Amino acid sequence: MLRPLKHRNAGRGGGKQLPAGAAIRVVDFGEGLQPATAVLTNGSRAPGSCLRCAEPPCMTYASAALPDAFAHFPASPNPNVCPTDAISWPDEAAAPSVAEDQCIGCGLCAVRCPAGAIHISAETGLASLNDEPNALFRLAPVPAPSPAPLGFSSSMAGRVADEGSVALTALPDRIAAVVGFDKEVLARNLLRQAGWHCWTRRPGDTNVRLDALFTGYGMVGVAEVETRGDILEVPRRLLDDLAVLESRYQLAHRDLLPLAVLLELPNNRSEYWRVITDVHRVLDVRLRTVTLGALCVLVWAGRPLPLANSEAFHARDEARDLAPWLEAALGRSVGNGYAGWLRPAK
Amino acid sequence: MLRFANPGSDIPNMVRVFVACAEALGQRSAVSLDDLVKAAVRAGLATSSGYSGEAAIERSYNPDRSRDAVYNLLKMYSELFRMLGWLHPTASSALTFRFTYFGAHVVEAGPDWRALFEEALLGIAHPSAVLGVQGRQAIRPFAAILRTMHALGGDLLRDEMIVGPLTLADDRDDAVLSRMIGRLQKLRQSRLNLSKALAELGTARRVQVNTLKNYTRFPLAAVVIAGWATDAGGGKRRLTPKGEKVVARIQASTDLRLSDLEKLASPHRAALARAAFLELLARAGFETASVCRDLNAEAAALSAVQARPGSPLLFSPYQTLPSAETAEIFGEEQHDGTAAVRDGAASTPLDGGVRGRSVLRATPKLTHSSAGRDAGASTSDAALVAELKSSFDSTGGNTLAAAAAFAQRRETDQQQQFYPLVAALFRCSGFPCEHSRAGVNYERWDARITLGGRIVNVEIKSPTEEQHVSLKAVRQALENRIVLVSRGNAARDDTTSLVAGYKPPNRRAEVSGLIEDIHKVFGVRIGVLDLTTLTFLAMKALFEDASLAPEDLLSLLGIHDAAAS
Repeated sequence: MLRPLKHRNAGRGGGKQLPAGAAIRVVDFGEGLQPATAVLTNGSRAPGSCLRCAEPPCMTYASAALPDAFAHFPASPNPNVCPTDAISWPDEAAAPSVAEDQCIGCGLCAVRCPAGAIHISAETGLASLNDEPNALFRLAPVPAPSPAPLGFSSSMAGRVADEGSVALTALPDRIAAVVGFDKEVLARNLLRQAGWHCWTRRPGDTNVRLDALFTGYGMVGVAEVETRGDILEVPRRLLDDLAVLESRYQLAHRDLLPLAVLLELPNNRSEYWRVITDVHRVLDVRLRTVTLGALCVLVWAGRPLPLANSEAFHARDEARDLAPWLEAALGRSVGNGYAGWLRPAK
Repeated sequence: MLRFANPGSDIPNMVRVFVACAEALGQRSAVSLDDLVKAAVRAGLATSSGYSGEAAIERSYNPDRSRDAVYNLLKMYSELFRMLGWLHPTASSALTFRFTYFGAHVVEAGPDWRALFEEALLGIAHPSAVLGVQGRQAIRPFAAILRTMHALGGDLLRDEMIVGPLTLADDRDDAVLSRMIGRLQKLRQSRLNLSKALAELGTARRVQVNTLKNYTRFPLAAVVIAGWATDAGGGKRRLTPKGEKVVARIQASTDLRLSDLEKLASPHRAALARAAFLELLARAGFETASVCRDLNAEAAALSAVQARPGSPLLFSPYQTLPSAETAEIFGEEQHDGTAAVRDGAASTPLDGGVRGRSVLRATPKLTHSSAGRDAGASTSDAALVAELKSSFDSTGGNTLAAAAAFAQRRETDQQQQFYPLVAALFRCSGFPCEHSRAGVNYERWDARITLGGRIVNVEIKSPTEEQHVSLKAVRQALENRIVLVSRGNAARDDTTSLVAGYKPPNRRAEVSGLIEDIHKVFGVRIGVLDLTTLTFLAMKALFEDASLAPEDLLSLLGIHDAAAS
């Protein structure tokens, strides 16, 4: 077959370089809500700056193969990191940029940037990208495509933001206001960043009902995501998913982790809590619950979502507060965020 | 009217399907539709009947290919891919294909496919030697749509698109174009005018109006994806600044159609094809500077078609010229396609492919019983019994017809009417039943039947809540049973949980499958009765001494439909 011509954006990137032989060892966000400091392997430090990666991890995920058991799950091929398409890289621009009117402040781009070029602003709670060269992040004499992201194995120190910041307190309003918000993509990406492999269903596929599959640590889970709709439907959908996965795909339901991902916990008068208890009592199934806010706080601190313990995040009638599990995962106490992020709103 | 295939309006997904198929099959000399099906399903881009992978192919496969859902989806996709020039039929059959050099660039473009897609949209022109389009329209449809939008001030309704640009006989005849614009302006004076014009077109072409509207799903989605228009709501599209720029480019271009090229000698055609294709690729972001070009040959060819010097070419060779000619011009291999029939033979499904769920859709079994007649003697339901009797008598004792007629009259019932009705019909059938009182939220049931010390919850869905019983109702029935057992009101046994709705689930719903899955995994029985069936049971019990046996009601599983015989 004839070889097609090359697209000019293929291998785009480059134009910045680190000192010869140095790589980024740690991206340190400190107490959060401030530009990160990149610490290089040679010990030198500087504010993080965009490396203009050829395949920017702040924008896209590399495609990951599904495990064999789910080889034919109709996974969404959406590679986007940003659930609202707020971060983009126009052809004529030297580096990606963030559209503030689309950003919800989830911080996924910030935690994924290997160079610490993105942080969450204390004032706005939105992502802010720095492309300014400095002593360590220098403009290359000849723009050339960067190799696979430099220092992608750099580790994160500190936290990008915390529950007291406007990034969290404004999250529900921003989610409601942004056009084209994809709640399943946000949940998928937060779960990925929180240590799980996760895939959402391909949009428009009406044959598979579950919102997301996730795996890790030898476990398999199924998630249903809800932000504004009928919360009482979520436990029902999870039971539907468990029944289908066992009946049609031979995945024993007792071995699965059913997870409700909500924006806010239902209030105390909601039947949700009693139904979770009823399901446990009658079917011996523990439906877990986590909020998008809790996932953000974990991701900002670079912590995984711990679900191995069978009681973890099993919020129910007699235990409606997520704080104990979140605090155990973070290793610190947590304060107030938005209403309903950790316990039922009054 | 120009017709577009309608596999859905998710164009990014359509492109993903193409890329998946091209990556899997692009090296083959010829592929069949079944090959495309397998490639799309293996890539997780098509499912069927709640299954994916090989199971989806098996479940979808129907010897009557017109009923093979996945096959038909890929058939519609292949029509669009042909129209876009990415796939060409082989010489031997219109249903075996090869991926074109143009299509290879869609794969190469990766995430930057949109600009190439825009060029392909503008490249669609009729008549075309590649497509076997019926009719005598000479039209470049997307150029015509954009020019019409521009002439009308920027806005175009879906129905205007149908009676306007998509029905143009010749878009290069300025007089014809002007007349069309004038007509649309006049139709805008009243909405009724447009509806009438649409109906007249449907009658003239012997096509239903809804079908005409379905033909526009692709172009309506395409102009938005291309960034040429925004969705202004109500089926309207509004031209964007980018769209205006494209209109300006169209007006400045040398628009070449098949009829222009057929007049040229083949060396000129080849030179024009190369020039136009390279220009197209350059506009779509491809690096063409290093490609060797015979500028003298191109100049001669441009002169032969009297192209304005420096004007861009509006001509997509892969969408206009015969497939064999473009293959020769661009050095592609041509095959007759017979290999594909052997290579891509449909896999034999394991069990014949068409699996039904008939085991969970049954007619109710009745036994002789006077329970209904005894229950019907109760004065609380006297009015209902009288109405049922009247229906029954009016059909000469045809119970099913009478029940259907009765149900038909309840089509607009809301909860306040429907819930008591359902409870009463169960009572008339011989089963003591009460409905919950509106506003009493702690009674987590809509109705309940108490029989032999056992309680059967009934989840009721009035016709104004949902016409056909849905998955949602089944899930609620499961939860109802769980809550009933958990809160000490029933023992954990195999007593059913019922759904009573207006009409049975439609064939495409997964209701029956979910009921089976729930029973298999959680051991909970769920039974579904629609209003006709419930009325049928009541009439049988009241007037024919035939009832559902109590133990059968208590263990009902699946969809029980009096009409399913």
